[in-house]
Parts: sequence; C-alpha cells; structure tokens
Amino acid sequence: MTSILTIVDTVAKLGLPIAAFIGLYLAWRRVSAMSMQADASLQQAELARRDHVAELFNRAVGQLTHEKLEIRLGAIYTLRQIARDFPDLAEPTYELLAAYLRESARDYGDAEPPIDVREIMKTLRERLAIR
Amino acid sequence: MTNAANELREEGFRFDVEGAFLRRTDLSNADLRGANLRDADFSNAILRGANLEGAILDGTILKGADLSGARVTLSQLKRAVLDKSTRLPDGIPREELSLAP
Repeated sequence: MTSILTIVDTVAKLGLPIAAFIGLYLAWRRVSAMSMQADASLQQAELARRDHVAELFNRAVGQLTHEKLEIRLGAIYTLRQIARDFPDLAEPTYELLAAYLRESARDYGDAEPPIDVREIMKTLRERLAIR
Repeated sequence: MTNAANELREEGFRFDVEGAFLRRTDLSNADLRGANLRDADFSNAILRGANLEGAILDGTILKGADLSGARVTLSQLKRAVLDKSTRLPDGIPREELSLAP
C-alpha cells in the first residue's frame, strides 16, 4: 500500500513539470508560427512598396520629356523623393537627371535657367554636396 | 576617366553633363571630382568652392563663371574657355591663361 502511494506521489511530482514543459513547448511553437507569418507579411509589404516605387519611377521617366512644364516638374519632384527615400535607387535617379541635362539641353540664352533645370540642379546638389 | 580620378570618388555616381547648356546654374561647394563637364556651357555659373579635382574641363565654357575657392588646376583651366570676367581661385595666375574675348 505504501509503495502504491509513493508511486502516485512520484507521478504527481513529475507530472506537473512535464505538463508545464509541454505547455511551454506548444506556446513556443505558436509564437514561432506567428513570427514567421509576420515576417512573410512584412516581406510582402516591402515587395508591394518596391513595385509601387518602380511604377512611379517608370512613369516619371516617361513624363520627364513631356512638352508641358508642369508635368516635367512633377516628374522631377517624384524622382527627387525617390532618391531621398530609396538609397538603392538614388544613383540611377541622379544618372537619369544628369542624362536629361545632357540630352535635353535647351539654349535659354543669358536668361536665368528655366525652373526644370534649376530643380534638377537643386536635386543633384543634394548628391554632390561636399561632405 | 583616369584611375586617379576614379580613386577620388568613393561612390558610384559620376556627374556627367557633357555638352549640356547650364548657364547661370549653381554648383557652389559641389563635389565634382572626376566629373565630365566637357563642352558644357557654364557661363556665369557659380562654382564657388567646388572640388573639381580630376574633372574633365576640355572645351567647358566658363565665361563669367565664379570659381573662387574652387579646387582646380591651371592645366585643367587651360583646356577650358574663360574670359576676363571669370573669377579664378587664389593661386591661379590669370596671365598664364588665354582668355576668350
């Protein structure tokens, strides 16, 4: 009778930590799964954001040579913002703006530069500032 | 661009405005090391304090431009087009340059 009581007591003592361990393990599994899901969501959001920026970039490239000044200006402001917000896209953006200066150079005589040229130079100065 | 000019720039972007019309623009205190300004028109432009080390200035029009405090060599300026109203950095002897009318 005594030995039965001892066994019951031992099982009771061991059972509690085992139950706690199993509970902790299950909780950890659940947290891991949630964390992986959150990572996947973040990656998806980042991909969607990059797609959106690529679309903005492409649209701005097309608008840069538009005949209407306000559309060209909009494109320049968009490209400036892309260069500021996405460091990995900054270099191609600056290259593109410099190419615009080379290829679309208009003779404006001795007058002040037109606003699109001024705004491009302002954007490029941000990159070319002596640090 | 020469190797030396390449070494001068730590990062990828190289300012290339060859042949561009950029009169009266402002590039004061700009880092233009290794830049390509060949045949560009910078008449009356402000290049005050700009660093032009290794920059290509062949045929660059700098009439009336302000280069005071700029880092540029005499040999670079000899290849550019300057006139008497071009403001030169200290240490550049004007008499050694042929000035456009």
